[in-house]
Amino acid sequence: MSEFIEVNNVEKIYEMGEIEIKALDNISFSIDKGEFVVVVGPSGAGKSTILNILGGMDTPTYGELIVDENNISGYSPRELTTYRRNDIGFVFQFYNLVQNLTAVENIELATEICKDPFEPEMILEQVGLKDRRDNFPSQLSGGEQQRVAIARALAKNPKLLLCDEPTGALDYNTGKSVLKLLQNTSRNNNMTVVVVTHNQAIAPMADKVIKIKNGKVEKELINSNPLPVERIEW
Amino acid sequence: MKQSLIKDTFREIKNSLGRFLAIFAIVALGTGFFAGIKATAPDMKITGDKYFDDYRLMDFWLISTLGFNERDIEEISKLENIEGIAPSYAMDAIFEDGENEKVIRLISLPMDKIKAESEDYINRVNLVEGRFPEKPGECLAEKSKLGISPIQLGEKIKLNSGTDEDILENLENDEYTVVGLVESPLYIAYERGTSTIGNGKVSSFVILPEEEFKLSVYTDLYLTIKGAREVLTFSKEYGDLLNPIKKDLERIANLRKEARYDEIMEEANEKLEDAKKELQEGEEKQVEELAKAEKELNEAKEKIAKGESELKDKEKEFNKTIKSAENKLSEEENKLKTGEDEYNKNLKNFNEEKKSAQEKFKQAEIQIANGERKLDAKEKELEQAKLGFNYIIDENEKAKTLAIIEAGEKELAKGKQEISFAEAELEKNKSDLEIGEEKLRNAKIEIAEGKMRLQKEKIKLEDSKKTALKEFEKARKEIEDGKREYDEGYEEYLKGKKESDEEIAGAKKKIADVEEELKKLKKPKWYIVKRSQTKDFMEYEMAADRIDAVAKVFPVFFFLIAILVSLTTMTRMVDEERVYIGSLKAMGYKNIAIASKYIVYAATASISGSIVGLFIGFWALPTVIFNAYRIMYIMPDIIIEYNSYYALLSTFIAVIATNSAALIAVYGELREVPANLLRPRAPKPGKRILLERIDFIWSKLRFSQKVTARNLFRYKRRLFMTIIGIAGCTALLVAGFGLKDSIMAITSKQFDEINKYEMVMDLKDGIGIGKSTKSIDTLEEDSRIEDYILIKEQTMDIGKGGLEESANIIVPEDINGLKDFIILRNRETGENLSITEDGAILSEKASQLLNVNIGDEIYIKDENDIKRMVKIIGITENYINHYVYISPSLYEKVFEEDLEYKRILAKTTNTEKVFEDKLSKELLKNDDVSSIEFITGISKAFNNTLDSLDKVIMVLIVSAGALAFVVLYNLTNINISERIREIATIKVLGFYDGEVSKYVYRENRILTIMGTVLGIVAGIFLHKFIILTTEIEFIMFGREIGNMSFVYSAILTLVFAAMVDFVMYFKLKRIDMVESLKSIE
Repeated sequence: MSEFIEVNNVEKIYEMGEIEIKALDNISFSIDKGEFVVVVGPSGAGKSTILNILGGMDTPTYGELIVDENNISGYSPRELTTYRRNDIGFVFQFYNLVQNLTAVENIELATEICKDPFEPEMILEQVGLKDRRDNFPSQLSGGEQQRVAIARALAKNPKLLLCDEPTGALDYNTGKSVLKLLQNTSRNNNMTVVVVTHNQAIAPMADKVIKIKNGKVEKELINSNPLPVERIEW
Repeated sequence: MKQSLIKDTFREIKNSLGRFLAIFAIVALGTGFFAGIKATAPDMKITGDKYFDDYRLMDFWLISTLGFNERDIEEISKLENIEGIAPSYAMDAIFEDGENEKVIRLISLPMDKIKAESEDYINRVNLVEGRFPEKPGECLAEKSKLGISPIQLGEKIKLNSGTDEDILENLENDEYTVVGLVESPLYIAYERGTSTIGNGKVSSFVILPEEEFKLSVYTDLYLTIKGAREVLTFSKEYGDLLNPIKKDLERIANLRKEARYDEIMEEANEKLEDAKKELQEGEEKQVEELAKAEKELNEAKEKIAKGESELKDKEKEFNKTIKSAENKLSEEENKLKTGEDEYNKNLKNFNEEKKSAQEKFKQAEIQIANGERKLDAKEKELEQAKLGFNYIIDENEKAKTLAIIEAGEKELAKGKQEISFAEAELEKNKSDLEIGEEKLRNAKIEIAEGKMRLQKEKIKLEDSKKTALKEFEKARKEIEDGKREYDEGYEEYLKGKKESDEEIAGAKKKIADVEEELKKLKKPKWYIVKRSQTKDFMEYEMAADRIDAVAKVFPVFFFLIAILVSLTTMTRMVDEERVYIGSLKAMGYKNIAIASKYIVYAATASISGSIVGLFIGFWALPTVIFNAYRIMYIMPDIIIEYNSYYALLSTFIAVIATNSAALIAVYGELREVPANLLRPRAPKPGKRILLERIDFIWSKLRFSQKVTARNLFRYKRRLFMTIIGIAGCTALLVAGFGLKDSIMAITSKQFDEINKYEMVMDLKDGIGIGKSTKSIDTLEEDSRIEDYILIKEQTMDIGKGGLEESANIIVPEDINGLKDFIILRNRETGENLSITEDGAILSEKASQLLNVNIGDEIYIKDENDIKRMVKIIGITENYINHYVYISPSLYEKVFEEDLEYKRILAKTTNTEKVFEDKLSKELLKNDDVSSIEFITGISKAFNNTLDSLDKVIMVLIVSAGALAFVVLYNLTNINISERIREIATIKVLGFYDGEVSKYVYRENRILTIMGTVLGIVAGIFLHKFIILTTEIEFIMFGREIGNMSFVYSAILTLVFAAMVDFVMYFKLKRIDMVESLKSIE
């Protein structure tokens, strides 16, 4: 199995006036298709930057990013948008649902624009919110909102599902159920899922764990025997 | 405020420069426009005031129907508060300018007072070009009227009185050279007033040195009042200052008009008496002279008779003399004839006698010769005898011989004697014959002489006859002449008598008339006119007030929108800073300290915005507007006054509004505990909207349309703010464009739709009904004239109740034909109106001003100020001036006078200038034509004057446009910043830039369209309000807004929206997707 995602010697340097901040310092790793990957590291280590670059929201200063044999690092902003549109599903820490849209409409917001989306109703059923389809985000709990967010990401039928601290704003149990949903999605749909978190406890459930520190890959672990979510505690 | 907070505040400004500038700009626009427009009218007034003061425009203008004499002036100058007093002359004259006759007002200038800069030099002129008059025959003309000098520098103007009077009766010269061009504070507007001569319209003024006038009394009296210059002439104080003096003047006027009336009466009566006396003397003299002439004639007659009889006598005598002379002559002739006869007889006798005598003589001679011969023979014998004697010796013989000899000798001697006797006798006979012959000869001579004498006498007689006849002829002729002369003299005498009789009768009538007039003579009327009551002044004040009227609604509306938007912006800013406020509060900052950041921010933005706005607004708007008005008004540069009232008012409102918005928002936040503040505000819940319940619509909407629909109703505040802001700007644009339409409609409707004629021709003399004149015949024949109509047009005052306006009375010769030249119609229904015998038709604006409805009666004041009542049967659409249309028969009935047409309206086949110039020149060759004018020219002139208001409107449109832009920018900006997270999210979801902007702008566009539609509706009302407050008295603005104006306003709003969208597109593009990852603030 060829490597689905390759990150080769990626550097990201932010120029803040005269100060240069090296957010990523020569990072390289790879992700296989269908893998459930957890990127962990403390605040400011650079994991958000990795997420941004993987998600096509930012471009590396140096190095290359290859996703499904496409060199993303050379993309123009428009190509990047297309990339985000068709290949990426994104789950935010704060769900980022459009408040003015019902659950199903939030999903439709995403499916409207991509090439080969899933049926929003079906996805909603998958995440177990079929009967909340016409509820507005403010009428949903945090976990439900995050499920809708995940559904929105999945409905696009992306190549890669990126999750930014998906449990960050959720309570323990809800967080777990959300992680469970993500893991199941990866397993059942052969979906490549990258979860970025500072929560080390989540790492054992991943197929691959990439530890980031000070903008470098500290450790890249392959977990041949990932734990089911139920067994994880934090 | 803590140091760090101050730092933070200013960093905040720096970092959110866009927002800061938005507030700054909108406040600047709002205050600048508000204060600028508001200050325009006061600035115009200040400028006017200074100009009037500097050039000493009179505070009071006194006009008397009988003029002012020294005593009048003396009485007035006794008043305490009078600063300057300037008696002046004014009269109108006709100036033949090429083919045009122009009425010119001549005004006197006290040359001696100019140099002295005396306070008595009032209504000073501003010499713009050239110099003051130095010599007689020089004058000053006006510099500019709508930017053109009506009379050029150096031009010679020839004047006549325009009446039968010789202008030199009143002026020293009748030709003046323009040596300088001036501006006078008396004339700042376009119109120069009316006149009783020429075409009745003063076209320009000319200033002459006082010495050039020969009028016996001053016609005008100008006064300035102490302290009047210190107050604003448009203010109440000015009125307060003048009113008591006006009372004083009225008091003097009352006294003086009595006195002056008496003076005039006395004077007139004296003069009348003198005239009467003179008349009497004249009459007496006439009688005397006539008597003398009669006597002379009689004498001449006698003389002629005498001469005639003398001539007769002389003729008689002459005839007698001639006759006697002729008698004598014939007597003598007879005598001569008898003498001649006798002579002839005698001559015959004599000749017979002579013949016989000569025969006798011959015989005698023969006898004598015989005798002699015998004698000779004897002698010889004797001799021989003698000789023989000697030889005879015989004495006997000798004695015998001797005796024989002796006897022989004796016989010889005796024979000899006998012969000598015979010879003597013959001789004697011969001489007798000769004597007789002589005698006859003498007698012949005598007869010849007598004949000659007679002849001579005859000739002499003839001559004397001739001369006498000649003399008689001459004498007769002389008598004839004398007779003729006498006849002529007599005729002359009769004529003279008749003439002088007539003269006397005339003089008598004149005296009677004067007496009648004197009886009628009213007491002089003094018109005491305040500066503020003069036409130009009022017009200018009205112009300023009009701007004030525009300034009443327009900028307030404008300002309110600006304030509303800046208020929203501030509120939004505070909303955004919720967490920051929470942090500060958590750190223990006091509320006031926290709030102070926003107060400083808002205050900095609004105060600096106000300052810049005021600075520009106070300068730019009055300057632009005033300069536009200066096309119509002759005024110096505007004086910019930084009106502290409007400055403070607008700044105060702007600062208070933005700051209170900030404060309310901040305190709204500060009411919560810090912990809450640090948590993101619960997002506003999504809600179903009404539309969703209407399934058949909702189900048809595309997803994105549903989103938009829901978003629209979710953010109600933003919805209303945006709609109101955009509607306000659109309304301002609609009002601005509409105002322009209304103003343009004045000329287009008036000259294209209502007035259907192209040419106006005035005749020198009016012509009666049914009459024609040379120029009319010319029109009839000219192929360039399609049609024409005769009308009477005259300006008169019309009124109803206490209201009065000046209107043009129009009486067409053909009431049915009028519709081809002037359209009379109801503006709203478009129904055509026609004049009838029952009543007149009034123009619309006049009907509004006079509050006249159909069926009402109005009065028309004729030349003698008699009010003639006319019923109004129709009100017609009209935009410029006021008109009353009356039928000829009604006119004659109402005015009790015969109608005379003096004006001709004509339709031409072409309106090009070359064509019109040629036509005009040719028609003016008819000497009965006084002037020719083309509508194209009039409409152009009108457009010029309206252009200035048009420019004011452009200012409004540009300002409204700028406001629209700023408002839209600001609102969009707020919209975006409120939804930045949402936008970042959809970007992450893979929306292309175009799709992102569409997602955001769809709402904007709908709001813009809704705002535009609402704005158009609001604009119609705003326009109506502005029109009604802005309209000039004698002009009616178009009431409709053109469709294109709505289109333009809408398009402009949409264009501004599109421009804002364009600018915002880049802002949207720059939105960092990382925003989506941030926690909710």
